[in-house]
Amino acid sequence: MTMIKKFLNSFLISFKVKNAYVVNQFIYSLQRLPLIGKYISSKLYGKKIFKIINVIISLIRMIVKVFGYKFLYIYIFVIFLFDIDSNSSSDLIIHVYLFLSLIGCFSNTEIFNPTRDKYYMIVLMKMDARSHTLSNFIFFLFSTWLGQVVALLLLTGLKWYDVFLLVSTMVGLKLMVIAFYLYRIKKTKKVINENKPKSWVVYFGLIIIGLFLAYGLPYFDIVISKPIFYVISGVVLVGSIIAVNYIFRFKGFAYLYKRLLKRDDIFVNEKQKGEVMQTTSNKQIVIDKGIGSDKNGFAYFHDLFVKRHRKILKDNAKWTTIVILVLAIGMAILMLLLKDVSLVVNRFILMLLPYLLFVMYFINTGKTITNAMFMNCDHSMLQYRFFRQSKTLLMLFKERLKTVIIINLVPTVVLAISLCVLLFISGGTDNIINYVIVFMAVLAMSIFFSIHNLVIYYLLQPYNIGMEMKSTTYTIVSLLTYWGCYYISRIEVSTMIFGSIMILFAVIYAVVSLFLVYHMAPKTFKLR
Amino acid sequence: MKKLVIEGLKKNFGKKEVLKDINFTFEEGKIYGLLGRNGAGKTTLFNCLNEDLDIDGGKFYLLDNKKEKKIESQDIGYVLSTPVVPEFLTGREFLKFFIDINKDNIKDLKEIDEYFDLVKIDMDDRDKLMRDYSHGMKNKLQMLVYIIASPEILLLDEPLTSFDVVVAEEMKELLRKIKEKHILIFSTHIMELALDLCDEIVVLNKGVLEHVSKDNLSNKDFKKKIIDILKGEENDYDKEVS
Repeated sequence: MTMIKKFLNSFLISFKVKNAYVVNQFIYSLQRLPLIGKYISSKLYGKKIFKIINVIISLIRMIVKVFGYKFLYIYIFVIFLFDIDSNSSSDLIIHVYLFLSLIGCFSNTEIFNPTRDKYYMIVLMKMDARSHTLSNFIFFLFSTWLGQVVALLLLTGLKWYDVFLLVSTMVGLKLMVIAFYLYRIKKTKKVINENKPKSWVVYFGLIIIGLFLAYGLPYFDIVISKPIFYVISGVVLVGSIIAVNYIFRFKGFAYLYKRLLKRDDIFVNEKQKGEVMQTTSNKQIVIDKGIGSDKNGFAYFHDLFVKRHRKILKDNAKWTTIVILVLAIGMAILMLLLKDVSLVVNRFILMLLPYLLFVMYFINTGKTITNAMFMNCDHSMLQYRFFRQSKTLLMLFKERLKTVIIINLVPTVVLAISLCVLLFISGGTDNIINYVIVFMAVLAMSIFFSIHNLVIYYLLQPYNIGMEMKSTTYTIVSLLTYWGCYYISRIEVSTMIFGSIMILFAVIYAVVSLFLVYHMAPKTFKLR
Repeated sequence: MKKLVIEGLKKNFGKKEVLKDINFTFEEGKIYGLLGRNGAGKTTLFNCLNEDLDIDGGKFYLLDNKKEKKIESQDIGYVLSTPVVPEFLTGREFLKFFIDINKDNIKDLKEIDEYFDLVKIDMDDRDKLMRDYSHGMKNKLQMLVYIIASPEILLLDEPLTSFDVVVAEEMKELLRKIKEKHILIFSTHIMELALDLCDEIVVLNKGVLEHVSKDNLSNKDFKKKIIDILKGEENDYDKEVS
């Protein structure tokens, strides 16, 4: 009884803490909003009403997570992919589900997932590792079980006892895998992190094998039959009883989380931090005795920066170029072999420009570059006042703009030429200006994104000294850019019109934004 | 003689008045020890003087032979407690870059190696990437660029805490050496350090800056006086003395 009370208690405490930091984060980002931010008082942190609202939101989210996600999972992976309807053989559903569970029991264990919650609770607040883990683990298992049972009952025609058995088998498999890993910790002190497998090749290899067993075998008419399923279930259920016993008696949770909850592992999962870590990682600096520069002043500084960071700065662009080339050549060969393809490609290229905007958004490395600039350079240099003088700042901005544009121009030019060549091979166009427009528009897009990324970095420098993202405006502008590109990519308009507008827009944007940088960056480009 | 004059400086964070009304004149040739309790606003004051933060009132300027002069970038240096240096450069490259940029403002320019000698950085370390430097070495480099630039005003925020005792002693010597032609303001929590190194003690308390004169007090009584001020019990002390 006391154990249940203890578990319940630690579950509630961790729920409350999570609730508190979600609310605080929300208020904090509100305070950083432009214009209205300054009216949001810090007293809000103490207001209970927010916590209560968030509890309600959390509960709704929990329900969505328990039922909605599981529904989606069952629907996408079992029903949709296989075109299963309620009349399909229950054997097939059981087969697919069982092998998917096999993948899930390694990749989604909850216990070996280093989360921020665990870091806060166990490392920072010194909560008892065992009761925190087990209470949350029980909740995880139960909610997974319940969600999937309901989803399977509603979405498939399986009998209720088969559903119970199937989902319980899935839970049992998880338990056995976890027990095995815990046992391994006891024996060999080896701790796994489910998000960071030792070898990605093995990890994806196993997933592919799992997927093959799930989806491939039925293709060859090999499906686990009911009797075999019952035998497997029986074995798993017996095994899982032993596993539960082992997990609940396991004494090494504190040890496990000492190893698992390293700061880097926790925060690497968040998207922003992920990017930050990626660029800030020491590995990104190329140490090469031969690297030097015979330039002076800012050109010298910038030259060394580019040379020492060529890995992150140029590799991306290099790979993009290769992919574009391979795709273009493949397409060309395909067109020469099949006449029909030519027709489609010809029509497509002339309608393609709006989509290209979206593609260019993704292949532009401006954001990665500004990240690297901040983490490895400006983060420290902005502390020096001489670095922030207008003259200095703008001189470096110019150097950087050149570099960003040039780095991005390589894949862009290759892409633009490929498109023109493909257009030509596929039958050409009546209006010869179309070639020029396609070529120029692609170039304009690339230059636009290069300028845009650097300009918003200089105008909204979003990081503080602790390398945390501190500007809501920056996030909003990034989102708007994304949505803007997304919506424009869906417009259907002729190459001529879209291309001309794009080129004009890029030119105007360049002039306006450079004007803004030259006038405002000396004030805005600083540590938050 | 040059002076840094602060008049009625104010800085608020929201409704909180961190610096209420700072009035003080710092003179050349002296090392000022800036003492204050945690959160008293020492770093805020430095950030304001270095124009990292906008101020909410008052002004500060350099007084040169009774002529008021705006403090420009080359007039002020700010050494942070946690040193930040561009890690992708070697120590030598950083100095070369710094000298390139500030050439016009550097008086009496020396060879780069002479500067390294000044802060005793080993030959081997001069051409290493600074990301492989220890905390203390980064700190030396950070201090060094300001010694090279030699600005009128040097703000030092807890600069000696990361040095080992030997290096700290060397750095103190260096600061004493350069103090003649500079206005040095040195913030610290460590009273012994302040008393040992600084010529004047200034306390930042409740948003106000005040000078604590040593008069004829013994070191022990002086310490007690400072602590009482920091605790906000100055009046009691004055009463006691009088």
